[in-house]
Amino acid sequence: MSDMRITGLAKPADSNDEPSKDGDVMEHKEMISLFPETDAELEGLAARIRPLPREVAPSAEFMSRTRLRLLQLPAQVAIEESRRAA
Amino acid sequence: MTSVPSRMEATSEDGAQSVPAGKPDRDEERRLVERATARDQGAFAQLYDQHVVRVYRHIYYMVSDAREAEDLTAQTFLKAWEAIDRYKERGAPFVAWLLRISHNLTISYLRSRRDHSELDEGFVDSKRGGNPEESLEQATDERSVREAVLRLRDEQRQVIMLRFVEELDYREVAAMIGKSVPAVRVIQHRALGNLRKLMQQ
Repeated sequence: MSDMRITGLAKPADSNDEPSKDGDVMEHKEMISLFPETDAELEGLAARIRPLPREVAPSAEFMSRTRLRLLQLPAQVAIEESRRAA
Repeated sequence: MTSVPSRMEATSEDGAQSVPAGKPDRDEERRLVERATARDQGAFAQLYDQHVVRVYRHIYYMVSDAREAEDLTAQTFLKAWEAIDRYKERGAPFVAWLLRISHNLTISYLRSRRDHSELDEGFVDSKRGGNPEESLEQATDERSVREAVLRLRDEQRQVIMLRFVEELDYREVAAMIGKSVPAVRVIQHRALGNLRKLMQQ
């Protein structure tokens, strides 16, 4: 980890949109020094953000009902538009 | 750094630029989106099939209630259909647009519910099982983490949810939000720092 090299992080202040175009390379240690927290501290926190169990999913009944509803929508839109036009 | 692969670094991710995940799928998706923007309900239904579970899970993380998550998921797709002709492809996959709609709807919903912090106590017990005491402790911890995640700024929350809730790697997250891999790493680092501060409050 300590010898990891990360490109495009030469500008610390709010420069998180794009890597720098001049190909700047920053050592990981340098990058870490930009932030008050260490990886280890944040890692403990990241471990507490738990993914949802795999079985969390919408019911099959909901999925088919909603799909049908969506397929019927264009007709509803057309009816509303024709009413407005009238 | 510990020797155990961490959740922050365990995934393959070190491309310097964002790389679209699964290019053939993206091309197929682009075609479907083009048809949907021309009000092809069959194409929109296919997009629904592809993304409904992901949208639902994203919402479920925020509301922790199956019925509410289903209502908000349906609303997300209804709103998406209403707005589909105004959709502009800006490099991110279509699901990113859906997730943004779902997030905005869910935040509005949570605000209207007033008790923003009201989360389903049964969530852990019913979904994870295990010892009741541990489950209660875990539920309390999960609740405080989730509340803090929801208070993060938009982009930071999105990265945290995609990385740790949806368990996408850096490259996938970069493709989702239209940023480079190093940018995602920085956003994640800052988000975790802010999360820590929020949880200390």
